[in-house]
Amino acid sequence: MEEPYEQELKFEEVKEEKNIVKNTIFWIFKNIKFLLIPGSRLEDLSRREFEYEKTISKRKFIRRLKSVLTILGMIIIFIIITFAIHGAWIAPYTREVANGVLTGSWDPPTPSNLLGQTKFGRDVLSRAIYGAYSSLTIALPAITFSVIVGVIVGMISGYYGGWVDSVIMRITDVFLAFPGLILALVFIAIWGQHMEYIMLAFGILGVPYYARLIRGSVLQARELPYVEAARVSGSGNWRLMFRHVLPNCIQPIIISFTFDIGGIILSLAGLSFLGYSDMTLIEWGNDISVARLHLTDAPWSMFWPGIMILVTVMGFMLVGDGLRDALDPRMKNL
Amino acid sequence: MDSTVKKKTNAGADEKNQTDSVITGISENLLEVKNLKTNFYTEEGIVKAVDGVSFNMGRDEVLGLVGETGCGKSVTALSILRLVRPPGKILEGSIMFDGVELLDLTDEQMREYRGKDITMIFQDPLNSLNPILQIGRQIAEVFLLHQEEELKEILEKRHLDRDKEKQVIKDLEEELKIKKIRLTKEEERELKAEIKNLKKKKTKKLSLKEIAWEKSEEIVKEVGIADAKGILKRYPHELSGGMRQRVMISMGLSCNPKLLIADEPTTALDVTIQAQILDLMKKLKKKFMTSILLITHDLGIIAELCERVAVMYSGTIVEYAPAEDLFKKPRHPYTKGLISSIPSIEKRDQELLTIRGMVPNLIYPPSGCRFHPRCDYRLEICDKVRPNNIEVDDKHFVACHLFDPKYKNSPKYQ
Repeated sequence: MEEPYEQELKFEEVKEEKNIVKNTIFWIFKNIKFLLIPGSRLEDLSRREFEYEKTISKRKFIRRLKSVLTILGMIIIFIIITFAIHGAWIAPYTREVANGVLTGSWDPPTPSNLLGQTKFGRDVLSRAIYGAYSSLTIALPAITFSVIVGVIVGMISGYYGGWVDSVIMRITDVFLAFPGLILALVFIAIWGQHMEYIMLAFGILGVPYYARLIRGSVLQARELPYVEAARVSGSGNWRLMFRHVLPNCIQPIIISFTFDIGGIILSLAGLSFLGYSDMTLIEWGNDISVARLHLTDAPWSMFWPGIMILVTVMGFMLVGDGLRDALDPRMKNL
Repeated sequence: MDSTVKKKTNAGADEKNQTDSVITGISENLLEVKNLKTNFYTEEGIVKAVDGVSFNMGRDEVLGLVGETGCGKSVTALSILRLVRPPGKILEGSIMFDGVELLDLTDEQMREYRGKDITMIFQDPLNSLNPILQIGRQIAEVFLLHQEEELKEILEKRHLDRDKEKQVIKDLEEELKIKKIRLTKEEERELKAEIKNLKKKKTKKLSLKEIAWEKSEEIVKEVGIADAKGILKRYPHELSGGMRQRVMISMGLSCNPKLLIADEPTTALDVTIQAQILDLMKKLKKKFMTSILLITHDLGIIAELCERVAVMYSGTIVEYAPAEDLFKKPRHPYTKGLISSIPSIEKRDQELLTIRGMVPNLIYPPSGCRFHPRCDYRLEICDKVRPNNIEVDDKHFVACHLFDPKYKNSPKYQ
């Protein structure tokens, strides 16, 4: 009886030796998820370490961002940013050619111009790709400007209160009384149709909005016991404002930051459509404005820039939505 | 002790105060509050939250401040820290802390005192920690705010040690280079192994922050948290109420303050945790020699912890006595009422005694003695004249006309 058993053992040993390579590969595949998927853990951890890892991984922000629409939005944003940075490599024509004067205005799609030609024979595909650059370079600095200035102004207003608050809030009231696009038109009429001024106009327009947004949460947060506790331990006003109060009210700002990038791209397109932007720029709103007279005979020249605007704005909105769900779960079902 | 007091005084007024105190023999007091008045200017009227409060606190002493809700206990504490927010304002009075008049300091100077010499623990430990900062960061912040120079000294020391270690390794390496030809293979191998070992042991380069974290770890261990290192990396929501209060206490004690104001430190905790926290405070008081101003409405806690008690009623201190005296022989009618209204298991069949009437409105407080509308022993004089503090026993002060020899013959109110 003993011999077969021993043989079996030997057989198994041999088998194991043979499978060393296979085992290592299997082990790598088994363990690669620990690197890639947050929340997975190594099995030889002690119990305390395990608990610790678990709480850490629960905090993983990315975990809550996992939803199909958010990932779709991220992919869209990634593509748009790629267009903006590497447009010259992706587009079939150079920037000069795409913005130059050529033959064949309003020609339908051909193999050399995949999406057709617009006014002065410019390539629609190239212009659609280069358009990302001007949209992002106007929207991002503008929104960053308004967030930074708005947060500082709103923070001071909400934290100090009293007459400082009254003065700042009345100024924001004045700004908010005008419709945004009209005020932008006024600024551009005063300063001129240059990219920097359009940027600045949009930046200034966003400031009162963000100031209001953060003031509301600061008013709430500054009364909380932990702010008082921090004050008791000897923190100064600025430390209290930017270390203890601000991080607790920054969430709505982050959310509306992403939302508003889409909004600014949209209003920039609107402004260009009205003819109030820099006409030398390659910009989607410009293209639509130029092509709108030829809607019937050359629909492609208007369709593709429109699609680009739609997709870009949607991408930022989706990410904003996902961020809101991740940061503020109470709002998820609203 | 006097020399430290002298160092901190600078102006003439302080000197005068100091000589006064030397004459009366109370220079040992850590905190002297005299005739403190704090008002809140609201739309309905002026709320006299603290109206002429005076008390002294010795070094290494626990003083209890008892009173009903809304009688001005917390406002007194906040006034000492000068943290009364508008519309509140400290109207007059003097707060001498360790020979320095706190009310004369600028905001910058006052900030130096907060957290370093005077700290406060709040009644709500659940909300007193910043929810988005790790515990360790919050404790380390106190160290970085108040003890930066000491931390820097430690850091320099560590860096020197590290340089020494580096030098040893370098020397060994040079030795290896020079003697390489003469050494046998085994000796060479040994030397190399030694260098490798030393390199492994070499301490990392530390920053100021890391040293602050190390100190935080020490102080957190002090308050009876076993897994100090793990706790420091946690966020407040991951801790229980008792744990959070312990962390708060450790934050308060981190800079070894002279005065700790505990504003109802056990109110939000259940009874077993309460006992633990009180024990902890007792132990820490012995270890760090900190004076504690304990604000509470729980007479049980007072009996447990305090040496002296001040009973507050409607913005004034009505009785001020050693704790034992107060419980054995309460003099003021209000104190009597308070002590007799403690439910007792022996008097189960009797009805619980209460003080009749309502807490007075602080906007229109009663004239004269503020307790007279509710007092059972009321004299005719009570609603006309404000009572003075009368020393009825050794260190036992009562603000009541019943014990004033001046009004001995005053008729009883009908």
